Amino acid sequence: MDGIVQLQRQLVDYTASLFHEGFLDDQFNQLQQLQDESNPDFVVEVVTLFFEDAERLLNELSKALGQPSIDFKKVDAHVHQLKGSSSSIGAQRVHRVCFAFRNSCEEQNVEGCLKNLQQVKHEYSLVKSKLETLFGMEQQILAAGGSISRCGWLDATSIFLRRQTLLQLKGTLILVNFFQIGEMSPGQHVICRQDPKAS
Amino acid sequence: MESRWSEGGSSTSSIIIEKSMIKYMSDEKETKISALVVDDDAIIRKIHKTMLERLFNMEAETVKDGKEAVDLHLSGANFDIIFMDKEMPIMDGHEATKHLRAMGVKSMIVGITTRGDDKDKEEFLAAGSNHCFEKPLDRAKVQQVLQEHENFSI
Repeated sequence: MDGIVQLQRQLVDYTASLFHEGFLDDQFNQLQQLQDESNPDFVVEVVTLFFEDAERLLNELSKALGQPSIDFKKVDAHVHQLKGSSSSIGAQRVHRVCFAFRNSCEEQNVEGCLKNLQQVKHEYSLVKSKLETLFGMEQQILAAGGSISRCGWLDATSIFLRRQTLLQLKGTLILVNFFQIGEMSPGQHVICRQDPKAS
Repeated sequence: MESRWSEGGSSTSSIIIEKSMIKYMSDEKETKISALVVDDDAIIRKIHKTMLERLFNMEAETVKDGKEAVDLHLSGANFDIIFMDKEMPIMDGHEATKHLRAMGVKSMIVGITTRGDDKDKEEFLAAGSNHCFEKPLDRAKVQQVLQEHENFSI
């Protein structure tokens, strides 16, 4: 039992670090909130689509930028797509490099484009391995018989309402993802536990 | 009785999934609102369909471009709301919107663009869409559409 709790804590900390380090943004949180018991693999499925899309586009970009005469319009179209799909899953750092990349395209700056390609490849491989680690941790918890929950999108009122509900769940570990609270940074996770001595 | 909360903990067994807010957000009406998501990006199609179904209790279908949307209507399909991407291969969003309006389609059409400038928006509205939003489509934007939809007669 304690093993599961420890894994759950690690998951919370790891997820929080991905937000704090800017790998993920609120959009990823939104995806997580769309996942529940009836579609337990939603996030993995969407992220897998992103991996496929990104790898195809990065290949296309390497090819297009390897040509003696570069078709900047084509390069820009690929970057535009990558920008769109990275923002769809909340891969914030990939998304940011895409902005700079599009500027280099517009200026027809070959050196800039090549540099941006390296950067975006780097950011992509980082976020890919981070997400794989995250999914691995979730799998481990599920395999050990634990469960995973997220409840983002909380405002002051809903926290109040929720507390009423949570108070009924004696001794249960609750993972709360406080998202839209002014004084907390996005993605910050808090583990609350009802103190058994209190009841 | 007042309970105290503390950070951390030891003798716990599971984490609970709480979806009450989402339930609160969803439309509990008996007849579901039907929606069509038109986007060439498979990731967007999946996310938007899931969002409309989960958070707003809609019945959502998806197609890959404007022509497929037009064809679907030609074959007799009808939707309450159409979420239309701007840039798509074969037939893009504002063009498809024009076609649909010319065919007499009275659904609410929501244009979705990736560009912040007003050019896309103007094009969409001129083509006959009711709204135009910048990507990503999110809860607040859909809610805004739904509020109007309540007074919207088809």
